[in-house]
Amino acid sequence: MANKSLQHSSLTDNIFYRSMLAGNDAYFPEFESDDFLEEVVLTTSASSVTFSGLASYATAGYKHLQIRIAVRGAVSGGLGGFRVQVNSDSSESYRIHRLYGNGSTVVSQTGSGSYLVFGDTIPNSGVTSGAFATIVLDLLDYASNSKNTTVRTLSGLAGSSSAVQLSSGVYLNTDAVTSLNLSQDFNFDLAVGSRFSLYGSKA
Amino acid sequence: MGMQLIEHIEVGSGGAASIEFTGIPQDGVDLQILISGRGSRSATDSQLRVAFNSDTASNYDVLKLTGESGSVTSSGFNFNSVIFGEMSAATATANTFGSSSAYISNYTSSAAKSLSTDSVTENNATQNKITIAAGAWSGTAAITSLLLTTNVSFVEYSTASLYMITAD
Repeated sequence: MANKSLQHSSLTDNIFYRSMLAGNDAYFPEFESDDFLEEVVLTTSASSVTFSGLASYATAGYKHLQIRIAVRGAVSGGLGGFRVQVNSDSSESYRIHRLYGNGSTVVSQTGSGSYLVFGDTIPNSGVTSGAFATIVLDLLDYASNSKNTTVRTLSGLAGSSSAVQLSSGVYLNTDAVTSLNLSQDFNFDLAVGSRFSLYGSKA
Repeated sequence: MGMQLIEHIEVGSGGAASIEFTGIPQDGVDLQILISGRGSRSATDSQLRVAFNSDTASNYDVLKLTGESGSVTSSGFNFNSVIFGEMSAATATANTFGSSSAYISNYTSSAAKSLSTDSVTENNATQNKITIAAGAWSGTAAITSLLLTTNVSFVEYSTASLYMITAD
């Protein structure tokens, strides 16, 4: 086939580009690192919420997890404890510490047991109607096999009963975290509308 | 608003005296640092400090609220870095690391920089530190690098992840 001369081409825009971008801006794919992974919103009261597929997120490259929670309890009474259990382990393998204030008292406390319990966190029916507590729970390097699991939580509620706290907890086991069970202390139910949203950060 | 990983650093065997992020992109709004750290200091905890753009002069202020072993204290001071919290260290329960988050607003602005932090150590005992802090750097240049240091050094498996928060 003979060479075709562009002098006789039907192309009318004869602009010469030295770059393959052809005048376009370069594209840099953004590495978003705060990904929504999954969520549970209670449509009926429930005793607990479990995230059990955490190993798959580690495989996908998520290094850190954050759970963002809006929660209310479904029993009579005031503020209940927020409970976290790791990998279905109910042995005496947990310790917590907290810095807590309620508007009149400020304390630094510790406790230990067969799960993490962050006290005075979840409002029940005796607390301002419709009020939900906010909890942000962070687990860094949750899939590491070289570290015990440290949990950091920031929680707060203002209303007829108020509490704000920054708390920490440790699960004394270096196994990777593969599941988290979230509940109210004493197995009291969580109320309709409580939301637990799991986010992951890649690193 | 998005959150983009800039860099993740894990300390290798032998430990590290510091963790440094350089060449920070300038097209973000805020920065966030997540630290899972343990120090080699012979104590249950070790300080977490941050300095910007190699500035080691006394251009940093911090105000802290700390819960420690049943007591609550508040302190403030000026130093050559922001001492914003603590991590677990050598005499804390083995294999136990602290967890910290530091959020730096408007890191590219021509004003002084502010940061808000929360840090926890952990330890299977009463001794522990939980700290909320507010810090400030009087430097007016955009932040292009930051240096994390501690009393002695970071041990193996300590990690620091730096993220850029964007407006879109």
